[in-house]
Amino acid sequence: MRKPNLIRKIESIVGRGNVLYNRANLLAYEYDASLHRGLPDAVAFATTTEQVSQVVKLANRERVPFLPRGSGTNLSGGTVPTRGGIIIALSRMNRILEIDLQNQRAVAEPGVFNLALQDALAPLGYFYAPDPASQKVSTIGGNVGENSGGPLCLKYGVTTNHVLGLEVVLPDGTVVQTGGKALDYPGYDLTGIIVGSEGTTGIVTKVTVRIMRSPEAVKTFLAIYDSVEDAGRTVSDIIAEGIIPATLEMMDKLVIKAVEESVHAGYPLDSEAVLIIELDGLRDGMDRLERQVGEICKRNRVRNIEVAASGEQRDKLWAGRKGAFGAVGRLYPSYMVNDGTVPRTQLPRVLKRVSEIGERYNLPIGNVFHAGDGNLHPLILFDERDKDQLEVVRKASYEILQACVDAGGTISGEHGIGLEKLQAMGLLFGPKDIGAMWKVKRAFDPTNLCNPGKVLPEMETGGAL
Amino acid sequence: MTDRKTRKWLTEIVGKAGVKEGEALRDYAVDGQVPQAVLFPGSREEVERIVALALEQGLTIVPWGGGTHMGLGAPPRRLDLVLCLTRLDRIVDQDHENMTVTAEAGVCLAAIQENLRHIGSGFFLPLDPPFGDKATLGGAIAGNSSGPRRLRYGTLRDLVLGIEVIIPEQGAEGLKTVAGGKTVKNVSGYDMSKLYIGSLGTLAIIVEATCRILPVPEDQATVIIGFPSSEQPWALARTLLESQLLPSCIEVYNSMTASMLSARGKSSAETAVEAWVAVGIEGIREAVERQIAEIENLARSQGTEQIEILRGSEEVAFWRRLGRLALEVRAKGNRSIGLKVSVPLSLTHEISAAIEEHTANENVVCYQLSHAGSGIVYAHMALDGGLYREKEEALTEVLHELRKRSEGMDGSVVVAYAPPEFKGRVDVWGDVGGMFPIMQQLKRAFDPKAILNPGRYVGGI
Amino acid sequence: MNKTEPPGDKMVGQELLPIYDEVARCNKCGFCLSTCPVYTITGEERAAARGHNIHLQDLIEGRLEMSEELKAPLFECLLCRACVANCMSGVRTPENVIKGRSVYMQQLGEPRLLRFVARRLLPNPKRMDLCVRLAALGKKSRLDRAARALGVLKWFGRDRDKVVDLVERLPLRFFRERTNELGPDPDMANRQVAYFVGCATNYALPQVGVSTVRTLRAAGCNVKILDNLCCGLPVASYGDEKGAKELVLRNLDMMSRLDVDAIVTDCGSCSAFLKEYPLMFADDPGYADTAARTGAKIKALSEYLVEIGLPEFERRVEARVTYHDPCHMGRYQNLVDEPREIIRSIPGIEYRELPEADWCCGAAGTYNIAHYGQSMEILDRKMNNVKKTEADIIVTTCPACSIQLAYGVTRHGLDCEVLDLADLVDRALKPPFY
Repeated sequence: MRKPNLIRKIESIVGRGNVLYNRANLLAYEYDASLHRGLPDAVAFATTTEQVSQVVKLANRERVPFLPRGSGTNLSGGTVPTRGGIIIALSRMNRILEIDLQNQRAVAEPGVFNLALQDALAPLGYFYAPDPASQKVSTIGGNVGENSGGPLCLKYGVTTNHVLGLEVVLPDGTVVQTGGKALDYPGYDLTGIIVGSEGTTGIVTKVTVRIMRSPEAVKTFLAIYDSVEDAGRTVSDIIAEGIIPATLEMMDKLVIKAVEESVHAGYPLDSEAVLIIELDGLRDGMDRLERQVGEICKRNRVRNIEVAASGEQRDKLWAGRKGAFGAVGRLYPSYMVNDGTVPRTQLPRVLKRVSEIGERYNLPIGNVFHAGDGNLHPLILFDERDKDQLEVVRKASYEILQACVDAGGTISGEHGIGLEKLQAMGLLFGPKDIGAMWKVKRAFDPTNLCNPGKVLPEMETGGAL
Repeated sequence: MTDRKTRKWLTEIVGKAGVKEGEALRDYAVDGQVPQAVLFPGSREEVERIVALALEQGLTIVPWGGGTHMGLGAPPRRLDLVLCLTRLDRIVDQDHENMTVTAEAGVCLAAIQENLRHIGSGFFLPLDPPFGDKATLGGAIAGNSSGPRRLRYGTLRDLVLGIEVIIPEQGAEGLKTVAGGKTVKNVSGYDMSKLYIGSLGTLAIIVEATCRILPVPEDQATVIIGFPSSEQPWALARTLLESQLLPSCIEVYNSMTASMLSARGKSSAETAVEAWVAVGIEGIREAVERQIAEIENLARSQGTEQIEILRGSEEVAFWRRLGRLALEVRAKGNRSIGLKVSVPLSLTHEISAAIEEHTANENVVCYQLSHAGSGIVYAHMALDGGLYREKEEALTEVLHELRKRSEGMDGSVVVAYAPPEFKGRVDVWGDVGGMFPIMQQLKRAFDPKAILNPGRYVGGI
Repeated sequence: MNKTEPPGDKMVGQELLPIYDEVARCNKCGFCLSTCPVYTITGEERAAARGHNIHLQDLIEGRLEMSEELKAPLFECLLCRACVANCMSGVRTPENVIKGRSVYMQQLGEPRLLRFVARRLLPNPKRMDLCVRLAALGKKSRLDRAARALGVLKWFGRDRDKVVDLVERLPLRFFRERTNELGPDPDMANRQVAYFVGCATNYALPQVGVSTVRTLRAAGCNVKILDNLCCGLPVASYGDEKGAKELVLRNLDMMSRLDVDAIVTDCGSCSAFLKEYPLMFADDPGYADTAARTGAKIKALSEYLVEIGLPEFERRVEARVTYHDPCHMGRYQNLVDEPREIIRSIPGIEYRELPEADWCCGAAGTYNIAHYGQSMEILDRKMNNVKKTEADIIVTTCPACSIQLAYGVTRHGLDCEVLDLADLVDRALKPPFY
């Protein structure tokens, strides 16, 4: 469904050569990191807010849907077009505009890689707390859209706790500012609504974030277990004793195997589960905390605890953990990852259920997740080229989400609803609840052209259009 | 005028005990406007039914919690019913293993804290707005109340995990909706809590919320330092903020405020002190000790020996007194004005000095208290009727000047409380910028009949 | 622009089947995007490994037909292997891309120029010499400037007029014509080494060849200069499997008959490709052994020197030196420490590690000719890193990189020189007495 006139009009805004529209080029934009596919009509590369605004206005005039794209590492299909339309690619809006240490803020264009921001801040003694595993390549704008978490979010919170201001191109093309460098601006917290709205309330073209002073001391441990339950109980016990580590991550045997093959960090191939525990803060008393953590692990039958001896060793451990999703490609070509989050205390029970589901459907499931905040990532491993398998995988996936909700949890801790979990929204919310969210959507985007078909299931009564 | 039939229906809903009338209504006036009736629903269902009736009858509602923050906002366009939620006072769930607490909107914060102290190894809700003994959870959320410890723990937008509200919409089955949940990480659907936090009850009535809680820290202390000149506390604050130390709060205040805090009056040593900073520290023992020592050193290196370290009940008392500042000021004058000024962190000193200058020029005593780590300055001006009348015009000018200056710094000035006459002359909220049309849309979507707090929010929403 | 030959067989899906499992292993995590030098400047998905694998998978599955639309996606890749190094699943995307190029050419025909070079020039050293000499004369007589002024160069494509400046001058005497400068083998040689002369060294940087031979001799080797053909890498990179194999076979035949301890080359690209010779014959029962035995003897200069021991350094080199890792050295052969070790052991040198030392320089063989604009943007990133080191000398171990870096020095007006490792070592050796 190509409209030559449309292409020419987009070209007149962003320049010839900055619009992709032939089939091969479009096929490179019909995916993200999820299993969904959807072909756009055009991909426009914007380099300024004005261009984004103009393209959006054009889309409005032409009644064509549009959606933003950073690096396309979305895990729930949020970056995949559902009804064709224009992908507004922000990969070239990748400048860090300002690092303002005095006010503890940084301002970045949406296409900046999360890690690039971290790398710019580190030598200055600062960091940006949301550190999703995809940070090497996911963009600040993408993080805003998904309200990304990361291992550090147990202690420091998620993206929305660190985004204080936005420049947004609203779905009608108007450019507005929300929030800013100060706090507590009067009016509804629209910054807070836009973060995590998965690109359905507009296109973010500038992000003002809070940056924090790097902690004085960091200690990283690898705790090795012979049973997943023991590891799970350790997690609960640590929190119960009032210790809030900076991170508390878990990986099981299947994932450890894939990860160790990739990074050779010294992960033990014969263990059932490992925990990466990181403590940070002032160095005073950290030894005592370390001992306390060690004792808790031992009480839960840890096989061995290794302390990362150097920054390099620490980096390797994290490279492994953060690259886990990609690494399982060594075992099976494709994965379906769930993102259910449960109260911490329910972890052992839910992990058991996940394991049962895997057995029942005869699917290998690897577990890697943010144990500290109960955010699971069961990776169902398979080969998507086998369409029958895909169906089975979807069923298993839905059951896992159900198990999470049954345990008092939610269906997405950080990857978003996108397309993948539209159906599952019904597990959590009733029509009224979703209706309230539609009110918000409609307030921003009455014509439903901005990344339509995502996040909110369409409803018969008072639904979409 | 609510007619007798309506009153009858209302009484049916809440029971005779749940309605206040007559003289008692004056206690529930908002900016001088007295409601027709004050209702005390005992359950969510009663709230729903009241709202349904109000929709039908075209009555306006002002939700009410502990009444501690009612000065916020413009005067209501019309005030028919005050809906007081204090009977929704159950703590529904205290899950210390998962570090969450779920409570109905009418539970007062002090009650939550008291309960949490006794579960597990001791927990707390990291929220310390003024008047915690009266402020309710729902009210705190609606007004986005916060206190000094926001520096370390954030504000409600960082604490609320899930929320249940009543949306005033005439619909089929019930008005109650939920969003969020009980987990720390949650991106299922839009982050609706953010919408309701600070919305001053103009979109929905909050009936229940789930918040994260934290283990009570092992140790805590407060270091109070007095300096001869007004820049010095700011310099100390700056040094702390640039360091790797982790204070939970840094409060800078002037000598006027100090005199209000000190029950015993100024000592001779203290008369030399112009400005103060109180630094709260909490955490594990060793870290607290180390930070106290470092702060003491910093203070001494800046040339002051006016250093006091508070712990235990003394410490608690100090912060409680600080929290009552607004109350004390309003007790001094029933036409007092309070401003909340917010600017980027590094400009706090500058705006504080500007406030001092402007108010001094008008010979108005100003009690300042700043969250130095957050860029927020509270300026309280005690005014009785006579002084107010004299200074009304000048103070309007002062507000405009401060606002111009703050907004030029990418900040804002909000009137926290003021006499209705003052509110009639000024925009209490300030300009909200390009997002206003969407805010209007949201209001129309959630409260199409504009029955909740009409006219009290930004831009007359 | 380029004239093409008529297309061949249309069974695209089938042709690419051998790489189906490999491309499917990409689970689209996207980690390759930020490590791809091309993606980081274009921001276009098709530039990154993920995009390549998707395209190939779509071709195999019939969702996409091979057409000119695949030209840019397939030929924009530097083959630098940055993606492989960072891919958590270890997908060997550059190999997939080359296979894609091969099928592209089969379907849509090979550009005439490429065919000419591959079939007529490279296998025929005399003809090759003649062509290069003409080009050298053209440069010396400033004919290239005239051609540019007349707009003639533009006929060969966009940016071709800039491309002629990539090489400042082509020497009129090739390395093979300067062997008389080399003198005799050392008296007390304990090793026999064959020197594989890469084309770039021979034609563009003959001095490097001289330095290489001198260095090897100083390290105690008898050096035999091989009469080799082009190693075949440029042809193979374009996917011309047949053309490459022709060159490979002739080289292998010649090399397999040598009685030497090692076959050494200074060119990082050559050593990388020569080491892959055995892979091409892994399924050939008759030849696999020979190829393997010969392949095992291939050594990059720095690799061999570290193995046998460095020569004695008699002169100091007082300079701040930094080192750029050619992709073919670091990523293809894992030779990262060896060149650094050698540099650091030369007396007088202050070594400064180059930030992003392994980031491609943008030369990528002939990439800078075919994709001048992008190549320059990639080069600029490299040069900005070089500036940070404030180095006097940039050292590298591949002539293509040397040429590109030298161009970068000019482009950025830097006050430093680019030297091959062999040249640097030569400066520290006893001066030649002949």
